[in-house]
Amino acid sequence: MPKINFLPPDLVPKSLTVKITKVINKIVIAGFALFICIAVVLIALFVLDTMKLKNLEQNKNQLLDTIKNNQQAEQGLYLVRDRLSKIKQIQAQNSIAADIKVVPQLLSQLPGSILLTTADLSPTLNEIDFQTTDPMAVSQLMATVIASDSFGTVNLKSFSFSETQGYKIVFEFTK
Amino acid sequence: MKIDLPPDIKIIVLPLISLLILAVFGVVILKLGFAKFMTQQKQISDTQQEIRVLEQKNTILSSVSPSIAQNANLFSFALPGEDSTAMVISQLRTLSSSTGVVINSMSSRPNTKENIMPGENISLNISGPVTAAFDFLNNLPGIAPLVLVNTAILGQDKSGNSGNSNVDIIINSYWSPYPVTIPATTEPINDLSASEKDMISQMANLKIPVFAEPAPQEATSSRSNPF
Repeated sequence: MPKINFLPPDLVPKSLTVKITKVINKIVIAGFALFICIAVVLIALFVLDTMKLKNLEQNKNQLLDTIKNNQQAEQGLYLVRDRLSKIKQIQAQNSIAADIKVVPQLLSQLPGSILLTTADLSPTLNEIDFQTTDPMAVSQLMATVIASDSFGTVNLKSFSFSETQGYKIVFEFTK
Repeated sequence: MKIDLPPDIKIIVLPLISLLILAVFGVVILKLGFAKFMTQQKQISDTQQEIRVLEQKNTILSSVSPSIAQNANLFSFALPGEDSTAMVISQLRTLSSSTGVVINSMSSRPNTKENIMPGENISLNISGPVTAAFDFLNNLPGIAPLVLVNTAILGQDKSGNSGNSNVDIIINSYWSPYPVTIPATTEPINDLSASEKDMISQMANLKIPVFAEPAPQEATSSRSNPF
């Protein structure tokens, strides 16, 4: 049966308008569907992430509890680190600790006739005085001091002889 | 009042309003949703990062735990938190008796020259055989609290006892207040480095002071209890 429009022509919308309306309706329906899909995906992700975050928080709290139980070790470690850094500062200061070890080694290589009369040990300069009546011991002393590589520079500061005291030799050692 | 719209407009108005509402809702809700999603992702990544730090910290603390308390005790002797002069003097007395030298005099004054940390300048005069004097000097760096031997002037004993020496020694002792706060639990920590472990093993050889606890005095009275 043919379609008959009984409406007056000026009350009927134009065919272009009807087409545009249909397109807009399709866009609205498609957009709504897309919106629903994205919303569902976002809600799903939100729920999953909330669960994941909850698990992570639980894990974190367990670790925090374990660390709190180990607080004594943490305090100890922190104290040890603090002391170590300060001890390093102290040890960086000049001292004669190394020279104190060297002098007895030097003395042990010398003949018994040589007497250590004075030793002035300071962080920058060491002055050591020897005394002997034995001329052979003097040459042995010289040889030992020259052969020793424990000091940077060795200066023979003074060398004297007197009939009463014998030979008096003064060395100056610098680092 | 009824507005009489033309049929072209009338037919397109409702779909257009629907499209507009969808667009506005779509933009607003999706924007909020994405913002929330991104915030949650950031929270997850931050928490994962914190967990990594905490796991590393936990591993380090578990590995150092058995020995560190002992080391902390040793280090509190090596560098005390307060004036260490009395302990140093006690150690010097012990060392002199073990090495066979006599301490003739001893004095101390605050070390004002070096300001790395608070300390005392201790001057002492010892006498004894040369080997014993050097033994005493050699053992000074091995005592706790740590001291630095600043100068030593060795000479012949003035009393005329040949073979005996007289040594004027100046040593520096130090102390430093203990740290009062530790970093937050979530702050990362590093394991002890090789040089730190090496230094700890060196410090383990220090002679720490022995504090004798006096025994309770026994009752000397023979009187019986009257009650």
